[in-house]
Amino acid sequence: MPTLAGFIQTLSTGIFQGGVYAIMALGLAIIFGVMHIINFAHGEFLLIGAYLTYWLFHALHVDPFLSILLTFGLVFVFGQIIQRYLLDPVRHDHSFVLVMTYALSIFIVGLMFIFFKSELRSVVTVYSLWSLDFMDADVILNLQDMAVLVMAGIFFVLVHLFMKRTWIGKCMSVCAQDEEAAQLMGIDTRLVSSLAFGLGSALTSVTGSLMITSQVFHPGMGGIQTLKAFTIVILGGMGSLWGAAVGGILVGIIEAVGTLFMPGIYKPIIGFSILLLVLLFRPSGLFGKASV
Amino acid sequence: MLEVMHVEVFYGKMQVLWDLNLQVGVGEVVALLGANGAGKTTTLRTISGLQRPSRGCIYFGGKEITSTASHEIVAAGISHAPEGRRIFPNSTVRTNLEMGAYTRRKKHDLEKRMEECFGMFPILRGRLDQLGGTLSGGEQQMLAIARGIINGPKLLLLDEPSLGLAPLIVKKMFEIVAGIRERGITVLIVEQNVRHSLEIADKAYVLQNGRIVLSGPAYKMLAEPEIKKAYLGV
Ligand SMILES: Nc1ncnc2c1ncn2[C@@H]1O[C@H](COP(=O)(O)OP(=O)(O)OP(=O)(O)O)[C@@H](O)[C@H]1O
Ligand SMILES: [Mg+2]
Repeated sequence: MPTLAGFIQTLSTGIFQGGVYAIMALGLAIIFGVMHIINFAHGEFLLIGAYLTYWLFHALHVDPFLSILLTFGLVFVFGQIIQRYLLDPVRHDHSFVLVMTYALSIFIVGLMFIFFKSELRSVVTVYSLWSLDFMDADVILNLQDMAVLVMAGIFFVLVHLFMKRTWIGKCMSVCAQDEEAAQLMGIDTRLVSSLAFGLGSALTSVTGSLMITSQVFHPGMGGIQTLKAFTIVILGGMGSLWGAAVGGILVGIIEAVGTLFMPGIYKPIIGFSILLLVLLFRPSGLFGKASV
Repeated sequence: MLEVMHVEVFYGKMQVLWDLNLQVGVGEVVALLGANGAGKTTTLRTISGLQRPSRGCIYFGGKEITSTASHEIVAAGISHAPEGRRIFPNSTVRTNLEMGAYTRRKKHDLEKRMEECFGMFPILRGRLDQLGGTLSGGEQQMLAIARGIINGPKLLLLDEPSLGLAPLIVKKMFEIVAGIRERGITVLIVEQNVRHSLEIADKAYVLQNGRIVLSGPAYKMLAEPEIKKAYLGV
């Protein structure tokens, strides 16, 4: 029987984890919402962020929290290039796009194996183990995890403001609702699509940067992250920003609670079970359909 | 101002427009009439670049726009209030209007333009923060038209603005269209409501199965026996 402290500990682990999941799902929600495409390479963009942060840290001693900005900028541009030159040309057929993103995912994984080998990698900083104790040290909260959660929150708020307040954000929102009508407003929807893909990919890579501070990475783990992102986005209602945030936290908590009852290696099964249950019983997501 | 010449349009293998020619002069209101499925919507979609003709060309203000991107056609001065209104349902009325003014976003006169729209559609003022999807049909149509004129177009394409509206509102809608012309905007209007359209139009074209079968000044059309029989029920 878990104690109160054990429960709080588990809950906080879940929330910390869920916070980063939320940002990755936010990225997917934007891409899906605006472009209505399934991006199989989503998890690989997370890998790119993680390994970029790893490399910057070990080669140039850049602090992971600082490298987030660099990761974001680089992947924002990279994502746009991918969209412009690989996805846009085949956009008339969704199954081509699907195959293209799948090919892209395998390509990126291949590159990662070449450059970073199959060893497990992580970023351990001097402050990685700093923590706060509560309840006679029964509850230990890692400061870096807290900082990661705060960063996730900041990203969420920024994206939210961006969507609601800026011209380009509003363009993304209306393109998501009705692309043709958006064209009739004079919006260059192809440009908006590539910006959306860039933004979505960049957010996902930031998730990777944040994750590698608290867990090990391996070039082959992108697929499972893609699946997780889809689980969260479907759970929260395809294309909804708030849904992505709440869904992310929820999946984080469910996973954490699940690992109380079974070994950690079964974690993917939990995520996958959620996906199946939601698809079968609540395909429109917990909060129904909303849009970007 | 607008010249459509020998335009042919296909949906896949199915041809829906045959050798379509029409002219819209500056300051005119031109009505495009025809039964369901005649190709009226397709004509407007082709003009605004949503659909590409496989033959023929389109000129606007002396420049060819046949293969110009939709968003550039809007920027050149053609607004299109599409069939079914196509309001952004999850965005507020304000955002809908802002998006209508998108091509003029750098001019910083948005508030002034919104005020002008409220002059024409007072009902929208009180609805600014309401979501587009929650407006009534009539209000949505007004928003669709407001969205079309807020960026100060030279030509406005209207696709069945009176569809599904109560008779009283239909009358108002045609008054609004007449008002739009007063402001110096040229109008190409697609309508099922033939009598009302011909009353406000200078010129009309009748489409039948993708071909123009009749055209001429509106007042003559009103007297045309074929029109009377087919559309006016007299
Ligand atoms: N996206 C499409 N794909 C295939 N065929 C289409 C498509 N859109 C329209 N059509 C066909 O093209 C023809 C012309 O359609 P269009 O919508 O232009 O007619 P319309 O005159 O606007 O009719 P209505 O008065 O009902 O709006 C019709 O036969 C229609 O079935
Ligand atoms: Mg039509």
